[in-house]
Amino acid sequence: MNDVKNIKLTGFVKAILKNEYPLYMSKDFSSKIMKKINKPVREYSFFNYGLRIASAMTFAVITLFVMDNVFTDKIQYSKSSTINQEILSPTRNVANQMEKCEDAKDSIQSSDRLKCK
Amino acid sequence: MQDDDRPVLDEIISGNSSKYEIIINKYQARIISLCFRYTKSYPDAEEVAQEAFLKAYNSLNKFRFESKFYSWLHRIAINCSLNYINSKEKTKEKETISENFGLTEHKGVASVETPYNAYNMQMMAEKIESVYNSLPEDLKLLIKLRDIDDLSYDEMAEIAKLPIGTIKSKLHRAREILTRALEKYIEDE
Repeated sequence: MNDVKNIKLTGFVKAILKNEYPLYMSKDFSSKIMKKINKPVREYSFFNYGLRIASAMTFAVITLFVMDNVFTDKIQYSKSSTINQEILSPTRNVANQMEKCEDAKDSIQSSDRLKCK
Repeated sequence: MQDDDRPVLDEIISGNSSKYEIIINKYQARIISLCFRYTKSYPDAEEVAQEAFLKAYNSLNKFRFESKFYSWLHRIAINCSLNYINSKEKTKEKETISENFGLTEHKGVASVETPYNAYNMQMMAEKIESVYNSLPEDLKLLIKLRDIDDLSYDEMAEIAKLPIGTIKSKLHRAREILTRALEKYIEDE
């Protein structure tokens, strides 16, 4: 019987005698821990950090691009014809108005009413 | 304070990490059992125990040998278990942790099917119980004093009225009888 196995058995015996044992226990419990202990630690170099930042930024740019093109409503604006022109309030041509201004009083809105001289 | 684990721990600290398997094998059952009192689930108990062993390994340089290694490991396992409970918001379970967890509590749940790739500790316990009871009285006393009551060899010599050398050889014989009884349960490895 090898040493590790003997120690394991002694540990089991002691745990049982002390009434401190689980009902079930994985057979590979210790090997799982040893695997983690012996796992090589990944070393981060300056290059690796740079690569991580670059990939994060690329991902961010692509995400923004996708969001901008897919998720926003496309509103089509036509070219404005009023650029560089003065926007005036609506006017009304009264040059050809035949009736007297007194008669026209009731038929037109107060804002458009002609002033009678 | 004399710690039986000191030589192994010194080797681990000086870089021989493979020796840590000895420590794990020695204490795994007791630590998993301790974690189970908090987690109430064997897979979770193993996970928490694994975390405790890894934490102990990573902070081994800070261990000053002012207490026994097992006491230190025990404390780490309790902290890991409490963290587990807090993370799972199982505060109610804290109140129901039994201090008298042991052989008697396991009886009655022995009929549960053993999970694949796991030791059936209940069966082993029944075997050990019967072998221990069949031991000669002097060997039984020494096992009790050393493995159950955790007495030092000096204290044992005083109680058993035997020289330390005789105690060590008798204890070795008793342990061999007990471990041999368990051999068939792990011989498939």
